Amino acid sequence: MAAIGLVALPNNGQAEGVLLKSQPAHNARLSQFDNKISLWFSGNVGERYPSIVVVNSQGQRVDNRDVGLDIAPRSHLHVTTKPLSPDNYTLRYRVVTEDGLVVSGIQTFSIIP
Amino acid sequence: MLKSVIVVLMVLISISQAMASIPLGAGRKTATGTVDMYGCLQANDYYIVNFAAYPIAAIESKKPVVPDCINITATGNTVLSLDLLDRDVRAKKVALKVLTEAGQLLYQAPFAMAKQGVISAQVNLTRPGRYQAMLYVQDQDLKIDENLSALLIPLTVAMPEAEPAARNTVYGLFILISLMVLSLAIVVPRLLQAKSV
Repeated sequence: MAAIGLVALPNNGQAEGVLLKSQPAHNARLSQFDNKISLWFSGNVGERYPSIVVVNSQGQRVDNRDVGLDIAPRSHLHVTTKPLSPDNYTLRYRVVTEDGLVVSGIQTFSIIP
Repeated sequence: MLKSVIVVLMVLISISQAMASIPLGAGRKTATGTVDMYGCLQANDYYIVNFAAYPIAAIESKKPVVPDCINITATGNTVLSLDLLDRDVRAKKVALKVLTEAGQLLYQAPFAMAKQGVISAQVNLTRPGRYQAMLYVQDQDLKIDENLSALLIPLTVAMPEAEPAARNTVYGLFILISLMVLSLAIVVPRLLQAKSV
């Protein structure tokens, strides 16, 4: 029963059921990175207040502040980053769904030498 | 036994999905005074809150109170309320400062976790003018300087609403055309009169 509970409860504030996929994946360890981060949501999200912020392990912001939302379907949020050196990175994302829910969370990934 | 396990699983899944996102709390006044689904959302790249200002006098009148957004209608004791809409921020320590336009500190709440996800402050906004509320988050995930990620909420208190620029332009054009018509009405008859003489 405890195992079932652990599976069902949210993990670290992530929007389970709303955030479908991310590239890089949560906790990914990458030897190569194309300086682009993408998040896919389960349905259209609103055009207001979308955000992705990426920081390195020192808390320095490394994204290019160019977050974008695809026009159709409005379920793909993306941002580019500066060239990243080997380090641990954390991204904070946020969207507001069309039915008025704020969905935000934290993801991490690492660049390895 | 299997049936009860399935029921518990369904309940837990529904709870997990409900906890994944936070409703906006629709029907609040926006910064422009209208009411819509978004209400008084205030956000920067990092954090998002729903802001509300409740004048103490209105609360004490025991009439239904429609909270103000960032344009607070009257001076006096006011409860400022920030509904933290990022789920993870509700489990992090947050602090609030309220400053005058000149940077004078009016209110400061030390870092603490916000009970029920709401941080409130009672502030005496004595004079009409501009103020700002600053929300700081100790974000252990981002490890970012809290001054860099702070959410700044600009407030006005008891200030007349600025006329929209478009409306001012229309008024200006109207006055200009009126002056031209008036001057033509005065000048043209005189010119005609001079010619006939």
